[in-house]
This record gives sequence, structure tokens and C-alpha cells, in this order.
Amino acid sequence: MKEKILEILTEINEDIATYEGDGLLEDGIIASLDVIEIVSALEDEFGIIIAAKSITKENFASVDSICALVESLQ
Amino acid sequence: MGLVSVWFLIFMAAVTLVYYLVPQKGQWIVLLLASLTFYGLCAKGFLVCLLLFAVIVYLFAKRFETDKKPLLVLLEIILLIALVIVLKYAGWFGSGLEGVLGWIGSFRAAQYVVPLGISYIMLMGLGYSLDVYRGTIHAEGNFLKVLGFLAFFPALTQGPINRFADLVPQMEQGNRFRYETLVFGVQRMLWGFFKKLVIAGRLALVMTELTGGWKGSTYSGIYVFLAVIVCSFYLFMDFSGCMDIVIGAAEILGIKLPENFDHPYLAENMPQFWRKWHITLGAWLRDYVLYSFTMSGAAKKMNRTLRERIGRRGASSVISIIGVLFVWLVFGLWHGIAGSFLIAAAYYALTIIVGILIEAPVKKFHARFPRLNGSVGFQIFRVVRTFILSIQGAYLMLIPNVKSGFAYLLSFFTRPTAQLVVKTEGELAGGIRILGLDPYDFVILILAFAFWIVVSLLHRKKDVRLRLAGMHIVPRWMILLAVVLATVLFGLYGGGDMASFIYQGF
Amino acid sequence: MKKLGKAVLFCLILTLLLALFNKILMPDTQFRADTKELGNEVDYIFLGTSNVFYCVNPVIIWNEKGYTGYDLSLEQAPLIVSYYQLKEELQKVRTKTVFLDCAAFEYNYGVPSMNQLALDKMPFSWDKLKLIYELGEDDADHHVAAEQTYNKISYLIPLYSFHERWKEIFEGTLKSRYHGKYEHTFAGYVANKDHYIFKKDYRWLPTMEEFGGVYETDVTPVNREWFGKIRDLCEAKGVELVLIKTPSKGWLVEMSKSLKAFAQEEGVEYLEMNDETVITALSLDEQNDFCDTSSHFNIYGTEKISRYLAAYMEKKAAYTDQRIQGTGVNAYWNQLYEEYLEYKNTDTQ
Repeated sequence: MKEKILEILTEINEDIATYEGDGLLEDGIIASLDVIEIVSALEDEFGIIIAAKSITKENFASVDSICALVESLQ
Repeated sequence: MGLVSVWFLIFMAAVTLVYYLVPQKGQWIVLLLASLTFYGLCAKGFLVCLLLFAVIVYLFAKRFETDKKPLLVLLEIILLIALVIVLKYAGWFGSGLEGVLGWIGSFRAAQYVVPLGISYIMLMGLGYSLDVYRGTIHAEGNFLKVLGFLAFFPALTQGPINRFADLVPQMEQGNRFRYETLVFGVQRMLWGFFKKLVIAGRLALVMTELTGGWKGSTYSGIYVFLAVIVCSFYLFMDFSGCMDIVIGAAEILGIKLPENFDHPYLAENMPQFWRKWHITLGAWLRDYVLYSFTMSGAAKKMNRTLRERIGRRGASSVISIIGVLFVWLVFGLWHGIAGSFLIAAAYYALTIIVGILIEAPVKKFHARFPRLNGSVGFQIFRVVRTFILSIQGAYLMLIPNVKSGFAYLLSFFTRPTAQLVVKTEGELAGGIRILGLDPYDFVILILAFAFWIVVSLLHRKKDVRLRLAGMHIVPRWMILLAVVLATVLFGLYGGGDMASFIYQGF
Repeated sequence: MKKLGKAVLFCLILTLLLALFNKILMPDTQFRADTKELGNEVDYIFLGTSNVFYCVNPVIIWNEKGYTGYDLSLEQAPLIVSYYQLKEELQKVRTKTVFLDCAAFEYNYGVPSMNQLALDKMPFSWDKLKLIYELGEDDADHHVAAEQTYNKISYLIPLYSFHERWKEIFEGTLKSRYHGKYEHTFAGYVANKDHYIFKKDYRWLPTMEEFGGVYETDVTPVNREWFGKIRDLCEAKGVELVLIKTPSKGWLVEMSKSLKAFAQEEGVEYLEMNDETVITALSLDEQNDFCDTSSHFNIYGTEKISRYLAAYMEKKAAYTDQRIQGTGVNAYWNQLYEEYLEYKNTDTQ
């Protein structure tokens, strides 16, 4: 699943693939605009619903944390 | 009693003493009582309003625990806003519009803190109940804790905008006295006093001189540009100085508050600027306004419909732009009903939206010149560009009204001749004036500003207070004594509450 | 513990530094008589405002009748300040009579900036703290509105309001705030040879209507309170208290009347020098005797007023001519008189 998610993320913003920190959202690697796109892509792909409360810097800290979020919502 | 007053220092000392004498479990009650006392001393008549606010927030949050009707959220928002409008503007108009009109008046208007800090309390209360609504936290059963959260006295007048989940556990837990915490807190407060009294006070005088209080100025042309820069730094020094005092005061009590500024003048683009300037407001608007909209069912439905026509990126852009417009509308209205705030908000919205719109072409551009991105020169260009974009927003936040604010800006083009900066004795009684300051004040401003730059750059790599702690006692004490003395001697104060912060009225 | 000791030491050094700057930057503006050399036993003390030190010359009184005393007045001192001044003074000095000028009855707590300067001249004591605590803000609208710069904090720590004077270290004007205004003083009297020409002629004791404006002319509760304390203090020390109003063209007839009534009520003597009989006896010259305003006099007007006061004191028959007695203060007073004559007879202003 992680590969699929990484694929989706990289398609939207290639900087994500090379990012190694844990503050994707905090450091501004993904902007609010990207978030909308990522969420809609993830929702389509995995048939989940991501609510506003899930958009936190912790959930969007790294590719791993995004995977964890998707898993928890499945 | 304002934050920048000897009275506040005395108050702080008393609170600190009592706080650490009480067992940790009971410390939050000391904080609550201190907050109510502080509020009572600042705005006695409005204690009732504070309580009313807290009751509304408390009850709605409890209700949200089980009842998640969106209509209820709307009702709470309407209730709180109605209360703010009644209190804030009734007081404002009641105090006389003449105060609002004049230049000094435009600042003094902020003194009609009626009731004090209510806009901040509103955002904190709303944030708390929305967190309960979303299910990220549970509603607090103890009303006094909700009250203690909303009224937490250091942050009461100008923020930072606290989150319930971050602040209340800290208050409940309490703290044992630690000497280092006390020293760091005091040092942070000192830095705030220095910024506010030594730098911001003088920048205010320069600003008044350059803009003529927006009532007609002899300075035009390139001086307009200078004035805009001065406005921005004034706003920054005043507001971030206050934050240093607030965060330092909380730190003395062992409570960590969120930062509100993080080297904003080094931001490389406008979204980044808003993660560095008035951070907690930006974060609040993002979490509760922007995401509330963009993650709503309606927005997602719209996204799906649009996607078929303009693609995923395009659809997201449209949703994003609408969200941004929402955010900045709230931003403007939150600051006040003055036209200048709405213009400022519109301006900020424009900078963000243009950023979204030109993203694709910019990406193409960088793809063609891959070496440009990441080069020092280009980074400097981005910082300077963001600086120029951001200072105009600060300028718009400060103007007393749209018409005179823009008239002054236009004089950059219409009267491009540059005047003498130095006015000599013949022109002005009382000696030479440089940009409205006498030579002594001018030198102090330059030195203090340079000192601020050095400290800020040092602080970026490692907390200046840690650096100080690592120094030998003699240079350390000399630096500290020098900063205290500089603040006492060179600070512009000496009237009642010294000076009121700009951001107090919102 | 070691850290705490360091912190205390740091605070101590800081306090010393601040105290040092407090001392350096303190302006020397308010005039307060230096009366150390006059001995610790006198016949009279004049309390009040600038009205007193611009028209009561103890040297003249000495030369006329041989009574000793001095002016203890401060510029625009409210009664509360006069009270604490007197309290401090009576701990060191014995006097037979205290003359309290009534100009201060026109307001309650006076002008903050003036109180600041008065307090700066007062050595630190428990009484000073009490004064700072009790000093209210003035509500009288015909006086300068309370100045924000001066408040209880600046009364306690003058550096609060005077810190900006660091600039004057470089200007070299740090200690020259007198502007020569109080250059020639004699036992608390401020001598000058200026002339004030009236732009508008007021008669003595004008009515409020003639003078223009609306003023509180009843004795206010605040002034009753502080007058009461002065009276009690004098009683306790066995000192006679006399109310007096020196000649002053702005002194309203309504004020005069209510003070006469007040004095009677309190059982205190009241010398109204603005009454026609006194004014006639003084024969003040409107072109020659006034110095800067309608209630301040140069040495010529002062001599007339002081002679009158000397004669008034003689009538009280409470004092003995120290010149005949030839006590130790004799030489000092004679020297003061010589100095005064020298000042009077030199041509310089």
C-alpha cells in the first residue's frame, strides 16, 4: 500500500519522494492546495473519507504517517 | 494595567510567588484566580462578559460531545460573534468616533479594549468547541477549567491563540519550581520589553513623521517605500515584542505557549510567511476555516464535478482558491469592520491566490532552468520578493482609512522628489531631527535594530538563552545588565501604562 | 542555593546600577529652601506654594523686627504635600507659628509633575511612602490635567519619568534645570528683579464672573482632610497655625469668603491680604512690584509685603526681637541681610 500511496503523492508533488524529514505539512513541502489534491486522490483510491480533523501536522508529517492515517480509516 | 507596565511586573512577581508555593495540583486554580484578577484590573466591567463567553463555550462543547448537528455549530458561532459585535462595537462607537479618525486615534482606538481580548477568547473558545465537535478531544466537565483556559492571563490580551489540548493539560499538571525556567522566562520577557520600548517606540515616531499620520506628509517618493518598511517593522517589533513578554511570562510559570513569530522576514514565499507571522492565527484559520471548507462534503462533491472538466489539479486549485477567500474574509472581519482590514485581507488573499495560479508556469520555468532553484542568488531574490509583498500587507493593516492610506502610497509616483531627511535647527525648534528623531534617538534606533538582527540570526541556529547560559558569568552578566539598562534608559515609556500594543484591540 | 545566591547578587548589582542612574538623571528643578544654617528654633515657618516664596522675605522681617523663620513652600504644593513637609520639618525644628498660605485650597492634589519634583526633594522615609500612597489625582479642571508621565511609580522611582534625560549627559545640561530661576534665595525666599506688566487689569478679589470661568470655591473634602491633619499636627507640637492669603490678583472673592468662614469654623486666624484695607496699606505698584504673574512679586513688591507681615507679627506679641537678645543666629541673619542688600543694589537682573 505504501508504494501506491507514494506513487500518488509523487505524482502530485515530486518533492515528497526526496523529503526525509517529518514535517511535510509543517515545513511547507505540501501546501494546502496539495492537501486537497492528495486527500481527493486517496479518497478515490482507497474508498475512505478523510475529514478536516485528520488534516494535522502529525498525520501529514511523512509518507509513513500518511500511510498510517489511510490504514486507520480503512 | 497593561502588559507593558511596571504594574504587570509586580503582578507577575506576586503570581509567580503564590504559584510555586501552592501544591502542583492546585496551581491551575492560582492561574484561574490570577487571570480573573488580571481581567478585573484591566477591564473590571467586563468580567461578566468573560463569564458569559465561557458559559456559552462550555455548554456548547458539552453538547457537541453527543449532538453533532452542524446547525448547532452555526448557532454557537452566531451567538459568540453577536456578543463580540455588541460588546466591541458598542464600546467603540460609544467611546467616540473622533478617536478612531485621527492618526494617533487609529492606535488609540485599539485602547477601547471593550472588552479586553475578546476576539482572542472567541477564537480559543470556538477552537475548543470545534475540537469537541470533530471528536479530537472530549468536552471538559469542569467549567472552571474552561474558564481558566479562555482567561489564561498572559495570553488574554493579544494571544497567542491557544489550543485547549495543548494548554489545559499543562495547567492541570502544574510545575515544580525550576530556576532555569524562571531565568529563561525572565530573559524572554526582557527581550520583549526591549523590542517594544526601545525599537517599536522609536519606529512609531519615524512612522508618524514619514506618513504625517496619514494626514498629509511632506515625505514622498522613495520615502513612501521607506515608510512601508518602517510600518512593517513597527508592527513586527510591537506585536512580537508583546509575544515575547507573554510567552516569557507563561514560561516563568512553567507553561509553554505556542510561538507566534518565527523569523518572518526570512520567508521565501507568502504561504511560508504566514507560517512565520502571527502563526497561531494562521494555524487557527487553516485548521478551522480552510480545512472545514475544503474537507467538507460540499467541497468534495464540487471537486469531483470539476475534476471531469479541468482535471484534478485544476479542481483542487478552484477549491483551494475558494477556501483561501473564505480564510481571508474571516481574517479581515476578525480584525475589525474597518475597510482597511478588508483591503489588507484582500491583498493577502491575492498574493496567495496568484501563487496558486502561477504555480504551473513557475514549475515549467524551473524545469527549464533547474540550476536556478536552490542557488543562493535565487533564494535571496525570493526572500526579498516575499519581504516586499508582505510589508505592504502590514502597511494596509496600519492605515487609519483606505483613502488616506492609498493617497500616501500614490505619492510614491506622483511626487517622486526626495526631500532632506535631516531637518536642521532653523526648521524645527529643539535641534536637528532625522526622520522625526533627534540624533540620539536615531543612533539608538540603528544600534538597537542592529542588535536585534544579530540576536535573531544567532537565535535561528541555537536558542540565544542557551548560548548565554553557556557563557562565562562575567560576559553573561555584562550582556544581561546592558540589555536591562538599555531598556530602562532608552525605552520610550513614562506614561501610565507605557504604551498599548496595537494588537490589543482585536 | 548557589544559583539563588547568584540571582540575588545579580539583582543587587542591577539595583545599584539603577539607583546610580536614578541619582545621575534626577533633575534639579523644584526649589526647596535649605534651612540647615538657620538653627533648630525659629519664630515662624511659611508653608504654601510659589505665592509664598515669591513674596515673603524672611530677611526683611528680620531686619524690621528681628524675628527668625523661613519659607518652606514648594511650587504648586497641595496641602497633602505641605502636611508631610511640615511633619518632616517639625521633627528637626521648633517653631512658634506656622503660616499656611491658602493658594492650595484652589485645588486638591495639584499637578503631578510638580508633585513629582516635590517628592524628589524629599528624603526617603516611611512618611514619603505614605504620601505617595495617599497622593490622589487632581480633579480640578483649572489646573493642568494629570500628566501621564508622573504617577505613583515615578514618585517612587523617579527614573521612571526621567530616564530619557540620558541625552542631557551629552548635552551637558544634566544639572542645570533651574534655568537661573532660583539663583538668589534667602531663607527660602526667591528673589528676582523682573517686571511683569499686566495685559488685562483685574481688581483685587474679583468675582468669579469678572475673572471668567467656573471654579470650585468651597473648601473641598480633600482639603478639609489635609488641613485638619496640619492643624492636628500643629496642636500636638504646640505650634500656632495661621491661615494667610498673600496678595494675588487671581484670588476670587468667593474663595476668600469661604476660607474666612472655614477659618472661623476651625477656630484659626485668617489673614486675608487681598482685602481692601491691607491692599491700601501695602500700596503695591502695578507697574513695578510684580514679577511674572499676578501673584508673584519681585523684590520691591516683596519688601512691602514682608514689612506688612513683620508688623502683623509684632501685633501678635508672641516673638522677641532676636537682635536684642543677640543669640548665635544673629551673625548669620546679618550676613544674609548684607547679601540681600548686595543683590538688591547690583544692577544685574
